[in-house]
Amino acid sequence: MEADREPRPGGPERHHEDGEDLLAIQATLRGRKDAFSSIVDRYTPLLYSLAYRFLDSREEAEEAVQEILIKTYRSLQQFRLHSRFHPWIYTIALNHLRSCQRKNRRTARARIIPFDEAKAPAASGSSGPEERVEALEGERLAAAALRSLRPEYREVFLLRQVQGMSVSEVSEILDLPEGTVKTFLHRARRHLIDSLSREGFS
Amino acid sequence: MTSCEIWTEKLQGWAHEQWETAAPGIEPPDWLREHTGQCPRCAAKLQAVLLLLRGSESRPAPSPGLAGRITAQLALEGRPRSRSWRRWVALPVAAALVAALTFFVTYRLGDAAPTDTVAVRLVLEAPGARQVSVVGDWNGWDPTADPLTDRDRDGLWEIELRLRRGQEQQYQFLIDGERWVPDPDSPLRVEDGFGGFNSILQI
Repeated sequence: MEADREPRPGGPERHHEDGEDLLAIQATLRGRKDAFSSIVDRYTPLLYSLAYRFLDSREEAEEAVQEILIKTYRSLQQFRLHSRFHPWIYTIALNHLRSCQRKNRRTARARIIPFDEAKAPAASGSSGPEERVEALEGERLAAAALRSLRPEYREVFLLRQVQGMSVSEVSEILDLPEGTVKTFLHRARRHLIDSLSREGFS
Repeated sequence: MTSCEIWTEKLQGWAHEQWETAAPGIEPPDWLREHTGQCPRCAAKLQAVLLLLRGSESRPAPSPGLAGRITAQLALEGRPRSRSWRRWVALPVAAALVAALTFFVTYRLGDAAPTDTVAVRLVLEAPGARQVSVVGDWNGWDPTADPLTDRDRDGLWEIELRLRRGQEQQYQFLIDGERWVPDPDSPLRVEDGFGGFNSILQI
């Protein structure tokens, strides 16, 4: 099992960003509303990439990001200023996304969404029609594999692998012991590769 | 076993090893690509595996105007009520600041007062102000909790507080709901993180 290493992208800069987050929040609480826009700017793309994995469309993901940021803003007075904002907002985000997902499941949507609908399929060499179909299909397979994961494993995988957080931060956000995070991550990885590989074989 | 099944086993083996070392921009080795050139199904699987291995590299991005729209939406919200604000110091105070205490506070050890609290009188000269309050740790930085009064309208605003003994309290005055000033009579102050200063009461 992998040892916990440096957090992925955004590691050392995180301290600087943490300080900026806290300054922005304190200013907002003091009544300077424009101060919150720096939080919105920083977290919109991050939250979107997470929301997109939970929901079925760009529109839903964007709507979810807006709702999450509004919830965050409204509950600002509950945030303890001596702690880090980053895991706190992600906790709000996950709770919101989970309840969106439960709602979606009830309406039984069968459509599997490509990994990123909007992204132009990456093509190696000439981007002929074959390559594009291939790339789209690859995205579809990856998304399906992710969806086939148990929710607990999927959340760990998304936060650690896709959002690039450290094991300790994932542990904090999901309220799981670090050992469990590592176990879930390991299982998620195994399952993803194995289910992808078995795809199409009886 | 078909060649696809054989190839898939190799893919699995290779992929499982990549997690530990997977860096953005990971590329599959040539011997994996050999088969995919002729087999679109397996090529798609390889693509899928790469997407997952690359993790943060394949993050989808929202439409460019989203952050702006959200900020605009938030502008319509009321201000979040600051109920349990904790003080937050941007920079630690040098030890020198904790030297002499000669600020203008009147102590009056109370008769009916419980022994662990102390009466503290704060005064601010603010002629022309319409309202003055003191905002600090003890009232959770609620600007409405402790208003000062200027009964004789001479520009001298005052308030008497009952504060718990033994705790350091940071505070500032708020004039007319918008101007923050530290206590001019208190030499103890610490940066508040906004380019201003909090005054400190040591009781």
